[in-house]
Amino acid sequence: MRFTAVLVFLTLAIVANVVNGLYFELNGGQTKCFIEENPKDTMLLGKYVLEDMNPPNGQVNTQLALTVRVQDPEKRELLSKTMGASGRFAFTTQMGGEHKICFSTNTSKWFGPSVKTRLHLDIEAGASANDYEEIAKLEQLSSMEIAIRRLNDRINQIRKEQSYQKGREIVFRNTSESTNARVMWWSILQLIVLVLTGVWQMKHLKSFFKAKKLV
Amino acid sequence: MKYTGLVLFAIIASLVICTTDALTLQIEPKSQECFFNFIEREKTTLILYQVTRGGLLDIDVRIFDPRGNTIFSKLHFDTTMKGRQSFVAAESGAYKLCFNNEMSRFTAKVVSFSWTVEDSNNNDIAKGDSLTPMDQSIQKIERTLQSIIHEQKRLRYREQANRDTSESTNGRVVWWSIAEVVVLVVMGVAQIWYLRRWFDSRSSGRV
Repeated sequence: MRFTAVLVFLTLAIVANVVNGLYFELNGGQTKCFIEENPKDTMLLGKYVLEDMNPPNGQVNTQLALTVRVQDPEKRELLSKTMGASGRFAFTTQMGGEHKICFSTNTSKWFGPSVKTRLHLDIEAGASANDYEEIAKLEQLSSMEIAIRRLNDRINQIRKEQSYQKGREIVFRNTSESTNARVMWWSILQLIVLVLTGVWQMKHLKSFFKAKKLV
Repeated sequence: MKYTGLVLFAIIASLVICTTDALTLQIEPKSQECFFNFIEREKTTLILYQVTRGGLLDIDVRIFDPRGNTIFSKLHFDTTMKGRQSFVAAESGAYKLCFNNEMSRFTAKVVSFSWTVEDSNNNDIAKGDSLTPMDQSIQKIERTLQSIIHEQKRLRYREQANRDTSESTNGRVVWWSIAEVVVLVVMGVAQIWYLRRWFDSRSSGRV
């Protein structure tokens, strides 16, 4: 009995964590965007709770809706969903790079002034996005096995990140070397232009003085 | 019984390993973005932040307590400072963290931050549950891996800042070189033209 009470308390504590977690103000018609940079094939999970700051008639507003839009690094839309006052959304990155996640709420005209809401948000990427309790139930793993599965997933995430970093470092190095080469070639070109201009000036002046019979 | 033990372990594990809300967003010039977090009194909280793109990588960081008093206010320069603030909440309430870009007229800044509130419940529960040494070492490995992931993220942001600098240098070299060649040629032609004009006016008797 005491054990189940502790279990219930812990579950409530986790749920309360999401509601009492980080939040920000989102007004009706406003769009707030976040950038998530991840390597390819990373799963992202977003959990949110939308709270109305001035509920009509003092009661909980059930008409709130949140529109979530996800754009991949090439500006294509990966996800576009409208959900209720609380929910979750998930997507897997098709390519490595910066993904943009945008949130906006609806504005109901008969409210009068626009809706002022609070959005509690939690975005997890990679290994933290997996629901290990679900996986344990599904595959019937012991607590040791699920713990090792978690470690495995985290290590894979680290490896993915490392190969992503390697790719970016190559791009960076190419840019640096191209800058280096360009500086060298442009300096040589400038020298040539300088010399040519000087030579042209002298030749022109010489022919000019000759024509003016000064030389 | 084994099932409830597993669920209990998962719950304990998720409380011990503090999930960090790491968010990245762009702050437009002449604007600020604020975030809130509910913290209970005497809980330690850690805020980590980094400016990854934009101008001098500077942002004005302010933290307010539930009554609106400023606990912390600093102009953060990412090139020289480490964005790390930790404090113990004096009272329960919604604490406010603001990133202010009002000092910039044209450059938007990209800021990445994470706000963790430590859960001090876990210590009592872990002791009362007598975790085996295997469980403890698994938890330790998990904590270490989590810190490796955070460090990777931090390094990735630094690499991005370096790459932005390199690409901007590249662009600047191109434009500056073109401009300089043009100026050189124009100056050479202008000198000759001016000299000719001077000699022409001289020979026609006018000095």
